[in-house]
Amino acid sequence: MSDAFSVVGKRVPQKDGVDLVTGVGKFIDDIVLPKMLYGKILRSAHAHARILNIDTSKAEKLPGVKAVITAKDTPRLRYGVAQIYDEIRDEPVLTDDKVRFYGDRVAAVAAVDVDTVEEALDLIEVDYEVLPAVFDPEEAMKPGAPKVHERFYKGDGVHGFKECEVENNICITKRVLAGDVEKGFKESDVILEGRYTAHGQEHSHLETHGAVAAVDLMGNIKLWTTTQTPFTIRRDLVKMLGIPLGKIDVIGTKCGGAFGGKNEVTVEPHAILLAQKTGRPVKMIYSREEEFIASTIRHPFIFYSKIGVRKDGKLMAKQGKAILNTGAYSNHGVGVAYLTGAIFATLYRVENVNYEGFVVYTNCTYGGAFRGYGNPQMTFAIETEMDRVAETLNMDPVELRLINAPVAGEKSACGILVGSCGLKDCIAQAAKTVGWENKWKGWETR
Amino acid sequence: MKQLISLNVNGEVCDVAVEPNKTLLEVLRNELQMTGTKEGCGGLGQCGACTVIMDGKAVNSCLVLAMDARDKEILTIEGVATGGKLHPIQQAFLDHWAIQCGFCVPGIVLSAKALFDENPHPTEDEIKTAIAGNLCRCTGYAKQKEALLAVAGRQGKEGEK
Repeated sequence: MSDAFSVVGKRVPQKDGVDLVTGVGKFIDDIVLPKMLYGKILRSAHAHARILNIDTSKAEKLPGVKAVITAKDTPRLRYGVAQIYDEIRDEPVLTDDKVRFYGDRVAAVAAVDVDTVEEALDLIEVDYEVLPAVFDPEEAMKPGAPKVHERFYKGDGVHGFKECEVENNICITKRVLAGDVEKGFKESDVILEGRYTAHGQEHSHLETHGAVAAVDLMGNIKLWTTTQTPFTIRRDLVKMLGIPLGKIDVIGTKCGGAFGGKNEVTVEPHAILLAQKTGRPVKMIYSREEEFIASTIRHPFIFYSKIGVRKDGKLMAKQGKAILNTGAYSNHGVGVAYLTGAIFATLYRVENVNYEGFVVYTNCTYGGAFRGYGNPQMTFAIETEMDRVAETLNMDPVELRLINAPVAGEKSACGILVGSCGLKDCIAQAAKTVGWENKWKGWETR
Repeated sequence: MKQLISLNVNGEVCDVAVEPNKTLLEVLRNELQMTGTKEGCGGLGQCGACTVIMDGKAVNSCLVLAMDARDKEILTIEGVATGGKLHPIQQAFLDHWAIQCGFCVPGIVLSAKALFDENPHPTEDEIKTAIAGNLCRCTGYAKQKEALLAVAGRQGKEGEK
């Protein structure tokens, strides 16, 4: 690397390294403001239930409790993660009609200390009418399955939002169509079909989610939060609270691990609402248990695949149906389904593609952004499939991949221009490093 | 009912009123405002982010009642760098880029320090054992191990990266 650069090509000291190694760096739970209260969320005890009544009177009378809020204290707006197209707004700050997963948000309390908050949560009485629940997305797609959402608001990015009925719990369907798959299958020597599944996964960042909100007399909000995306958080808060953007100042604290999980709004709106109601700063931190119950996970995934290949190893056609279990709310489901399709159409190169991705509601904890964003699930299915193809063709799996790997400059079947791609080099280098040439003795000897 | 106790933290004796059911972690963070000690797993002793050194041994401060920490010498991350200089372990963490989010780092530094105080040239296995109770979700531990091996004046095991 040229000496003309002072930073590029050189290792530079971590900017906040000294703060982190001496314990000085401020993570969200390290922030303490004068007269600060502590808040927590009351979570549903059922996966699917209608809320008949919430009685907060006993909790409000407990000494030290400063505020209890339920849906009636919120603007009752639905929100969703912003997308360029197909934005879906289905999530309430606090549920006003029914709970949709074990851990859904029913009420929130602010009090002088955590012990008092927890005692107050126990004093809130909620009458539920328990409803049949559905956890398997394939069951949820069948007619007559319990409905997780009756309706939601859908926007196309141009004409605003309109109320839509939800059919068969399908939140959204994403399609990729290219070429002619039937022709591709006809030209194939081998056709393989398979079903692949991948389970959910919790980010488990060592620092749990949390936020501190303070509101001044003019209604200006100062919000400290552990986030990867302060501007997204601010934009989402506008949607869920109906507050003008300029009123919210979001300060990202040191972030104790995120892996995608801290793209999400968690306790921020509740902390703000409680701070507004009490006039005092409010801190809310997820417990580790809440983190597992209520924060988003990697979307569990079911994939039906059909692949056609010529004897010489060239992929001729790919057909796939992905079912992403988005759980109770859409969140990042739309984006994940899109990316899953893009990966399917791009890795490996094929001209004829028919992909359908269904994002399906269930009464499970909900899916969100997680490192890879749909990529690990689909890549697992694709790479497993490539090995099956290689075995069927009795071909070296490295060779099969090199034949079909995309290269820079080409346009994938879904229309994505492959700007740069080192996949072939990577496969070749990996094969060399592990001594593949000497190790590979054919499929029979495995 | 709160009780007044004395705690010796980083060589300074401080009087603090504590509820008898509060842990050392809670008292360090909430009463003494020493927030360098972290809570990760929720007081279950599973993540090691709250590690402090008590009478020379690395302990999970979430599993020690503050009342039981009376008459003990407690060292927290705030007391590791002295005389305006980082401890060699801290410096090694910086030199080897062993920090990503940094949330686990105070705990790992203290687990390692307890080891080095007793054994200045530990083997790789001894290092691994010493930090086995500290979860890190970002790094994969490789750089942290490298940093600690450098402090011990050793290279990694042959053939191991």
